[in-house]
Amino acid sequence: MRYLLLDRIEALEPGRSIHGSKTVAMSEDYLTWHFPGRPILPGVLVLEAFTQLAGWLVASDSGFERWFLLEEVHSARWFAFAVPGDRVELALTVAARDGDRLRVTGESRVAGARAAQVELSGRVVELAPLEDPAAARRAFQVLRREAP
Amino acid sequence: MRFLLVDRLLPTADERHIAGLKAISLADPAFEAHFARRPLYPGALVLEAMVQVLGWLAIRRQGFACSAVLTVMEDARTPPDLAPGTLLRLEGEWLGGNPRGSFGRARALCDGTEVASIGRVVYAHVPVAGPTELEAHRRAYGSLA
Repeated sequence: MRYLLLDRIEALEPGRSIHGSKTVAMSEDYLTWHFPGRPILPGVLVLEAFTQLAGWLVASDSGFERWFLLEEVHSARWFAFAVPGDRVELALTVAARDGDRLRVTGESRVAGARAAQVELSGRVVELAPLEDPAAARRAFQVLRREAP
Repeated sequence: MRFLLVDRLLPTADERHIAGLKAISLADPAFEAHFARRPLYPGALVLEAMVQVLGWLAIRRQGFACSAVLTVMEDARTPPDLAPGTLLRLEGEWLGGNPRGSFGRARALCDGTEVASIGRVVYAHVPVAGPTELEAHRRAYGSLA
């Protein structure tokens, strides 16, 4: 699998919140094993989608100089499974900042119904040692459907 | 990627505990995008490895007739900078349950030091779709153990 758990960034309020979406396709290889005969989007990949949303919010706020790495899951609850053909809508809000620590809350919905609720925290790090910032900016433009 | 994040199950002394190994390999396709300049194993997948090892214990206790689907995770820590070449020992403890679900806790150790943990994890038991899936569970568990 390509470890890209977002397909689109729908809206962004700098420093405060970001909304994105992940569509679930039967062609995604992890569904073969999760689970045999019963494909379900793995819950931790929803956590990863929220983590990547936080990364894009941090990157956008910092001129693509910073990124977010997950360190703690304070709580996560899944109320409904996402299956092939579903679009998972994700909304993430900054709850607290303390130096290079960031705490966020998130809720996902599938077909209008609440699917998951999470509270995560992690570390804000330099982006350049991880990724080419120019490439990250181009990827962000693709997610935002912006012209380069 | 194959979403099988436990490489081996290890013998344990009783029916309430399970242990396994997870090797972090540079060949893992997750590293293609995480990240281009420096490979760091995604923390969410370390959590999934712990969820899967304890999930195997839940499935075994139900005679392999269900999948264990994650529904709650609380008080979890994961390292943000795990590098390829790391071998994790995964440990899970089953704390309770019934035919509809189970719960427990898990941790991951590197060279004897705890690097990740989940304080509480809850699974829903989803019945297997049929005998083919039941046999797939038995075979997968057998190949790991």
